[in-house]
Amino acid sequence: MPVAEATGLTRRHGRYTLHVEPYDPSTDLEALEKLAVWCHRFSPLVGIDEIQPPETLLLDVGGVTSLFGGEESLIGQTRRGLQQLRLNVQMGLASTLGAAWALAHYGCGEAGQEHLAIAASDQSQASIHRLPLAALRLPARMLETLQRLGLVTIADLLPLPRGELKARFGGFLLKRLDQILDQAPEMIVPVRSAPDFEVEWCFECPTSHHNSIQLVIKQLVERLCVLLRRHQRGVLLMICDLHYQHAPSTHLEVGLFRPSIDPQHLFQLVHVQLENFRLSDFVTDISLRATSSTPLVCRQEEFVTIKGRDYKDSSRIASLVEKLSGRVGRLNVVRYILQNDAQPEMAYRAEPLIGYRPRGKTCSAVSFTPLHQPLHLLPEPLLLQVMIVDANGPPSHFQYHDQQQHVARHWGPERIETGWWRQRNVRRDYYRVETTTGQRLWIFRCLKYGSWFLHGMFG
Amino acid sequence: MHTKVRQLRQLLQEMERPVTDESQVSSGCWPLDAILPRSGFSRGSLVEWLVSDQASGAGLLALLAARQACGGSGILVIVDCGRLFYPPAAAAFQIQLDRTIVVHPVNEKDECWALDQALRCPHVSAVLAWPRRFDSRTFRRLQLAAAASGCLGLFVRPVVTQKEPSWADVRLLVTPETSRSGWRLHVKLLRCRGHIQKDFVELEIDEQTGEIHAAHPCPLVPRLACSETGSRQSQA
Repeated sequence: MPVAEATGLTRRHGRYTLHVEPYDPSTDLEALEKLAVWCHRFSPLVGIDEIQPPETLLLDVGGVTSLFGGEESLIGQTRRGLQQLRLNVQMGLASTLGAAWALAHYGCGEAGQEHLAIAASDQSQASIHRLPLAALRLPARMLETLQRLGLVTIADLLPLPRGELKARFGGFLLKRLDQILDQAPEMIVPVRSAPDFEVEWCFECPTSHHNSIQLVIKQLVERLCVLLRRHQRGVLLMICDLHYQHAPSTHLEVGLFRPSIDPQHLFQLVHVQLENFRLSDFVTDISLRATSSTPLVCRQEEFVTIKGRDYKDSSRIASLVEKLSGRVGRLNVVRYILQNDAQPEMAYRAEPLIGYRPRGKTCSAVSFTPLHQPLHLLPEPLLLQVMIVDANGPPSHFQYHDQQQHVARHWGPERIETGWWRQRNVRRDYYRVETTTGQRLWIFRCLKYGSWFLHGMFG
Repeated sequence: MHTKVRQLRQLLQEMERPVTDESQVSSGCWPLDAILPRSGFSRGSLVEWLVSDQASGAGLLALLAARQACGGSGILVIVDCGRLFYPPAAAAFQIQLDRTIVVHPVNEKDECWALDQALRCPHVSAVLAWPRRFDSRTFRRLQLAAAASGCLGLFVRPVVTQKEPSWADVRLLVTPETSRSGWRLHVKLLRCRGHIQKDFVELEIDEQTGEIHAAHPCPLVPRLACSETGSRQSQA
């Protein structure tokens, strides 16, 4: 549904407010992978559909249905579990992967069950033959050609000579047909959950002794690194949970710019946070887990310089970013990405250097000259007390820094009308003004209310 | 002579001796380079820009110096406690945002710590910040960190800190002025290592291109006259 249509719909109902997020396929895939890991409770082999965009989970339930009390019961348990996660799903169960996919997408709604289609082994072929050709997971262009030839269902395709079909449409159509009819194998590429890397320490007596706690954490870090080394994985995100005798547990989060299994380096990052950490109560046990890890890549260390190279390759920069993130917080060590947006606050976004995933569209260059926009932008525009208003320009006198400012020169206006799709319509007239003392400020008039705001200072 | 005194003298001589040209970096505008004794700033040193207000233009000059220090492939670290840095404006000044790390410390203590860490990193070319307060020990620590790594530290600070002790190699006072053409900035050299003479320059930033040029070439004439007089006196 387009955003404009959704906005209209919410306005018509009046009760709802619309929250819009930009479409991000990588986040969708990440969520689907998490759901696939969750589905391991129903099947040892869970995969994700290869069709783009991926939206289907594939579960191999061969041989496990008896553990759940039969096919119906397994389906029921799966659906209930997903409903608890507030997910409405369509499910199909059949003897082949292709048939199950086809039933889930095009077989639901039959036999009074809206979200479920099961093809019993004896009726499997018949139920599949009735399905439309789209159930074969064919490209849109091929489907269009087949429909132009008057072929609507899978049954229409079956009497046609295979040789001619291959000559006309290639081997892909026959492959899909064979897969759905159980005449060709199809594999599920499994989604595997990351192994648990967790170590813990229980104190014989609860303690608040800082040095003892540090020593234990140091040992836990070493044990965690041994565990990770066996799997040739490095830590990207590590969480240290401190459980107290009475108070609720607290945790320290350590993010890394590059994966590492160096115990000294990891402990140093924890230690930076421990310096400013206050214990809530006596500590009973400590657990340390690597919540995000990745396979280690061995590469030669840089010799002298990193000029011209990607700075992400520099171990010194990685160490600096990790230390900074550990002390001031992961979200406070960022790089900026420009965005194509006329509203100054939206013209860029910050991405944490640790644990970020590039998302959305970026813009590589700005379209204005250096003195066109200020070097300092206030997070929130500051309301100006205007003394004398000029009808055709900015105010000639206004209050700033507890001093009356007189405008000597000005440039503008530059009108910005944007943001209507965010439900925050922005209509501003921007002016660059130079005061009689030479200071340069960026002010605007809000066209909605007529008030004046300071938005930036030119360095 | 007492050994300690000799060591101290040696240390002072080392501190005052002009550094080699390889470690020099241009300030980004030639009129300013002209008043600096080594035609630029030294890598591994701190430069202070004193201003009365954030709208005084010193941030732009510091940014240009940072751009020069990075030279297209170096890494710039911006420590922005107030969260005021506006990246599109920096990009308009040819700052490579993909090679810029921005840190937002939550308090002054963290700000000093972040500055120290960034200045100490040998792969960082320049560090730009707007710190308000430093005690002398912290300032000295930052200077030593920069000297150890060869990083150029650029601090834009309020003019009220002028009376405080400084460990910066170069200290400049920037005052904006009104002009009929571009944006005029009066830059006064308050202090420079190995250079006693106080000097100033009037800069003008072009409205359209953002290029910086000298507003008044005239002050060069009195300077030349002074040097001429001085040489005559020495000959006599």
